[in-house]
Amino acid sequence: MNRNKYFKDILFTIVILLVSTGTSVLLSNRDFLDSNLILIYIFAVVLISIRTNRLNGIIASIASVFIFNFLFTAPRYTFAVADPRYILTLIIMLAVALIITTLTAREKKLAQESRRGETHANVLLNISRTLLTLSGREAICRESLEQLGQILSNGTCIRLNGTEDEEECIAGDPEIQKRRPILHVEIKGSDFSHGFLFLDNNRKQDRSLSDDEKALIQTFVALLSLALDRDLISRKHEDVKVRAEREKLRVMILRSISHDFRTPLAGIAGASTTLLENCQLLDPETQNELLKGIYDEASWLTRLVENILSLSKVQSSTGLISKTPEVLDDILYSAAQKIQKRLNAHKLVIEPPENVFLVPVDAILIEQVIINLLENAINHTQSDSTIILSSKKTARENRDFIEIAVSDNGSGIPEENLAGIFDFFKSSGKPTGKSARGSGLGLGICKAIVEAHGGTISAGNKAEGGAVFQFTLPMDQREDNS
Amino acid sequence: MISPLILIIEDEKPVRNFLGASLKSQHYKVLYGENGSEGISLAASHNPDLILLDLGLPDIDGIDVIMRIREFSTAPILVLSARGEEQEKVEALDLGADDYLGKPFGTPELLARIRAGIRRKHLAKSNGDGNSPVFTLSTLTVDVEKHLVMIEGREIHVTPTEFKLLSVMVRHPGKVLTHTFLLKEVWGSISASETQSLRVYMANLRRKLEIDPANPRFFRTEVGVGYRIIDE
Repeated sequence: MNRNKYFKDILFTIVILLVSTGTSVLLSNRDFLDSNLILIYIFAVVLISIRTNRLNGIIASIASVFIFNFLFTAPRYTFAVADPRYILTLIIMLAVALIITTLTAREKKLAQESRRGETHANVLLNISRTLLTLSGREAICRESLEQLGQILSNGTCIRLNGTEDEEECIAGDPEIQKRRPILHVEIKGSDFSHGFLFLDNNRKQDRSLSDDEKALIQTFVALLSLALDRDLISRKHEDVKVRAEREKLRVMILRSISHDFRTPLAGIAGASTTLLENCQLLDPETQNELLKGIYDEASWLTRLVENILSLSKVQSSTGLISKTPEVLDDILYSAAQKIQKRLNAHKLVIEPPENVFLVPVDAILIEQVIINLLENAINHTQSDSTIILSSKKTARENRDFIEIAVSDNGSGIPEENLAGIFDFFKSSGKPTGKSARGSGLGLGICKAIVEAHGGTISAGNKAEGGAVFQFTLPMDQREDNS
Repeated sequence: MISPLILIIEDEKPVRNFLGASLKSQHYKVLYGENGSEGISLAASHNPDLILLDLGLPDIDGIDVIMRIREFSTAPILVLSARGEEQEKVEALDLGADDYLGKPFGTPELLARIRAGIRRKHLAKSNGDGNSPVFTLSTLTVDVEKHLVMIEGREIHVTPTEFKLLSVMVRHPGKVLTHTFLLKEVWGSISASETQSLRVYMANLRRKLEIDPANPRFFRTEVGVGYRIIDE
């Protein structure tokens, strides 16, 4: 209890007693009846009991009896009582004062308890409301602890057990579990235990929990386990959905990859058997042509395999790619270098960012994105076109992004192809010749890689003609694994 | 000059055949090791001028082969590895391999790397400990004693750290220098913040020295591995 309030209470008691004594002295000089004076003292006791605590009330009751006795009963200014009838008066006075004190104190306590009950109910209501809107074990624990802290001054901490797909999770101050908590409550789920809630010693008063605090904690834990159950079920549901979608995608990719593999393999097998069996019959020019065909198909297969490798990296079960801060210039120039051989008469212009920027990326994957976009531009434009690879820093929603764009001055993307251009195997449904081959897989992989980095990718046509593909990459290290 | 002897350690017969055929056409002498242990004993008995090593061998891990060969031989080791094995590549380079070639590769690239490797071997022999104070890389001159960097005789201003970095790199023409190697040589330690600094210094150096960064004359970035100093 706080010292200040204690002294204030005593001061109040003394002042009220002094005031009532003064009034009584004034009144008794004017021949008021003693009963009036007694009532003044009873009134003083009532005031003191309401304003302060029970102890002060009792002290005031006894003090007023003695003061009355000392000042107003004959013989005055002694504690002796001449008239035996006054003894009865004094005893009744004391009894009445004490009863009033007790009643007031009880009333006050009841009022206090009901007020506390109301706040508890409010907080529990708030907790259950908040828990309904939250998802994710950590968020649920963190938020509910915060709300609980409004009514409980004890330190709290929740430890959730690790499950097959989630690690152990601790909310609140983890030190509490080690410091011998005064209470630990199991958070029981529908068919297993979620974990424990730990309560530390009260920071202000070192006392044990009251009954209604214990009841509050039980209700809190029940609410919490309900919320955790609900979260688990909804997450399982989500998981099944994601897995089904992934499976669908995998089947689609496999089917299209086999298709994409078969064509060049047929070319290679055909050309090489022709060379093996009829070598003497073929003129050198035809031989050369067949060999070049084999080389071209093999390089095409190589690029296909590189893309599939990238895809497997992005779509691996962990879904995490290892990002390191890389200088953007390096990636741009390295991609340009690797595409050099395929440029032929195409002109490639590189516009690096104005400053040296470090971007957290998997450099090999981002290089693959740029290579795919450049290759796409080469495949879909006339041989004398200019391709521009540019990059700049932008900001959106208080985050810095790097924007990389590949644009060309070709005929642009037909309107009907724009929607779903990044879908897997958009173009392989109806292969229309060499230029269309492979572009479907390439753009789909670009999208998967960029999104795995927390960025976005888009395609469009420039007002002055030609297509532009651009993607953004966040420049901060924040993880985006929602 | 006698034709250099090249040891090919590769378990896949088609690749071995193709490597052997292209090397023999360039008048190199060729030795084949079909697995790691055979490769190591051939390296010990024949003292080849250069070793081509496939990292994925059936008996011994390619990384171990490098370490065992390095116990007795300083012959340049050119590692053949597939894409997606960047971590292995870096490890191989840090443990003593000189260069790597990503599969699949073309013959011109292979021959260029082999020429560079053999040239480096001779250079190391003629230079002794390689402490000559002036290094030249096509039009770039780095004078370690006078603290001078020049391109076509024109002085280029570089910061002390950039100079240190540059002087480490010009000592290893044609070689792939991993991030770890450069960090150790220039900063003496490998911490995350310094790895970032290294990348920024390299980017700044490139901006200062390369006239057309899309067709670099001095350094090429090997994404995920390090930097290569161009010497052809």
